[in-house]
Amino acid sequence: MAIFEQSIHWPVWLMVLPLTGALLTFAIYRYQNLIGLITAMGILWSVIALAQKVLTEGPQRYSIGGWGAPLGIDLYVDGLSTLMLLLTAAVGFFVSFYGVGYAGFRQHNHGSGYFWPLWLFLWTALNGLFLTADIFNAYVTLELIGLASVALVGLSGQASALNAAMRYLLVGLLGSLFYLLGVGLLYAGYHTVDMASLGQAAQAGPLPRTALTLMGVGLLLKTALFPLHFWLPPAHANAPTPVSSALSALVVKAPFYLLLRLWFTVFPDSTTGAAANLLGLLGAIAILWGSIQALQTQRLKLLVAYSTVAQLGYLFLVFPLTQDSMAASTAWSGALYYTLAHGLAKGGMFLAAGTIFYALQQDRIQNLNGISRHLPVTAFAFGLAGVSLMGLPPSAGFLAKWSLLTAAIANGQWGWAIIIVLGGLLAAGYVFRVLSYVFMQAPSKAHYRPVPWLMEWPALLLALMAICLGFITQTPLTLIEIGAPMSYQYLLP
Amino acid sequence: MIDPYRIVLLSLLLVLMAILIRGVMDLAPIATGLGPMVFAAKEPGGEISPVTAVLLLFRDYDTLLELAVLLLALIGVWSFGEAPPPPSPSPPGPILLDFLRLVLPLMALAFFYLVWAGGSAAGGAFQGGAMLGTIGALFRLSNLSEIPLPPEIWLRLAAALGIAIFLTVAMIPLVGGDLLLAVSPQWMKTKILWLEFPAALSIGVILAALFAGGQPRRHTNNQP
Repeated sequence: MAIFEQSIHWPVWLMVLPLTGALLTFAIYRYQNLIGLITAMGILWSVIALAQKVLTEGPQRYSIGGWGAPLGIDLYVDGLSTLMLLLTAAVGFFVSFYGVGYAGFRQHNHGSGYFWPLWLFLWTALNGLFLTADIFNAYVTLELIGLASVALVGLSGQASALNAAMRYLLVGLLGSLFYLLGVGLLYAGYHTVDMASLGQAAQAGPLPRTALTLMGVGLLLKTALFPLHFWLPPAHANAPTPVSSALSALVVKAPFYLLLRLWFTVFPDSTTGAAANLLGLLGAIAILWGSIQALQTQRLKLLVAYSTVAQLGYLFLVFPLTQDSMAASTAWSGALYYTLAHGLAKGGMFLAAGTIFYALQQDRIQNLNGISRHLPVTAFAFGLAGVSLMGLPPSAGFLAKWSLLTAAIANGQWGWAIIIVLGGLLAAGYVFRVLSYVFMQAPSKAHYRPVPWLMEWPALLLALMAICLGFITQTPLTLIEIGAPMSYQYLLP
Repeated sequence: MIDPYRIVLLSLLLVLMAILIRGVMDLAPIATGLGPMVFAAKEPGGEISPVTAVLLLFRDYDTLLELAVLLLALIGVWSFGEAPPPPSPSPPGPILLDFLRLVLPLMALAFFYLVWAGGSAAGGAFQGGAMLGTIGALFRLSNLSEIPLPPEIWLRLAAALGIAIFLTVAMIPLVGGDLLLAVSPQWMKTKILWLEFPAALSIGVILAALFAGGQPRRHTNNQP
């Protein structure tokens, strides 16, 4: 068929497939699992095909309807987009399988029928955001992401989950409105909403700086950077487990991705060192604050959620570390690798935590005694994910932290280097706090519910991927370079 | 006692406000924008309203996703629970019924006109859909319980129809090796009508169902 031979259409399939799946699972209702899994496989296939194309031919641009910017909407896929799409597909694939096996859904039968349509809409929206080259279209996808996430958080119908969902909704809307205000200003000033045209038109001045500030505040609110993280722990901890995993691994990365795009490719002239340092500083506080909260909390899922607050802080170190052009490319690679590593590890860790929660019917950390005997696969998955989160070799998390550290030292920015190391130690603290109970050889009197294998293996495979990306670095690093906003100099070993 | 958090929040918002004012001052007072470009590009398609051209030709991909936002809002509301029961079973009074007999056919007519006119003048799927949604809200407000609701599966299909047709129309060019949502000038008006009517129906159904406030109750149809 002509469609497959031309194969410029892979970005389109990444939108059409999940959207079709969402419609089918909503309207037909039967065979939801089958339709959902086929969709997940189709998306994975399309992303891999797209990645191969980007690897061989470089960045791709696709004009929807053939109108072209500034009249129409363009899709643009470079290394950064491809990386995010791949991460979404990998986590989404395993979350889908976990969702099929997730026995928690059988307990509250009202909400469970809505998991698939909401989740596939969320996947559509994430893909849409990573594909688009249009800041207004990005706003629409942000709204889709927000609405789908809110509904997914409240799916269990419990009061705590509904409270968290309501707070999440209000915060998300506020963030979107800030972002939209910036879009409106930019259109009024430059008569285009296309990222590339804006990048050419916008010089340093009050207007682009105002727009970037407003959009930045909105995106920081959505990506839960300290001190705007207050909504995240309850939302991520109270959501059904497959949802928690997708939220922590993917959804908070989406606004961060958009911020990277705006900062590095649309308004590079409007950014200042002070703003970059402020973002880095907030990131550093997030690392410390989130880790300390994770060390103190009594509940496993809440611990994992606080760990997300902390780990997100690392991503924001990219702003100060790229200020000095010497090590900019190393810091860029490191931050993107961190996004990848954290997505896979945290996705796996949340799935494992949720399985433990389901088996024990509660998740107080003191009661995890000796659970590794009953759930060896899940305990192993939690441990492996922890290895990557702590940044121990040979994991993807290690490589990412090492790159960030190299960049910080090469720039002589010792403060950031200390934070990176300290954050790793704190992460080790809260991961080992859990592992010490999990692998305790004490006989436990707790009553365990049987766990289907589909709730165990997806977590392990995700965590394994986070480890494997510590060995298999060639392809991701090549991808990160394609279309990167700075010239590449090799500091990495 | 004044909450210190509120003062911090207020001062931060004031800073943002100052930045915003500074940015707005920087805007050029007169600007033509993309207007001339829109008029030139829609010219070969015949008489098309510029607003419709932006919504359903140049930025139709946005419109597709906006329809998805609406449907998603409905799915979200349904996922939270069933609709509350109607307030009281008292039948509508004769004046209300006469009013409805007068106004509902007119509203239905206005719905068709708004969607049809959307191709060349003000109007379109969202305006027409709002009219249709109002009809649904009127039905619900006036307690017409003897009018049977369609089974839920039909509601689901109707709510999804707009996006389904949109997606089909979007995919047709792919078969011929063209880009997603591409359209040749002589098909522009046809495409607009094909997109608008199902979209308007879905928007109306979704708005009415959102007004009901939850998933349809299972036992609506066999009331005593």
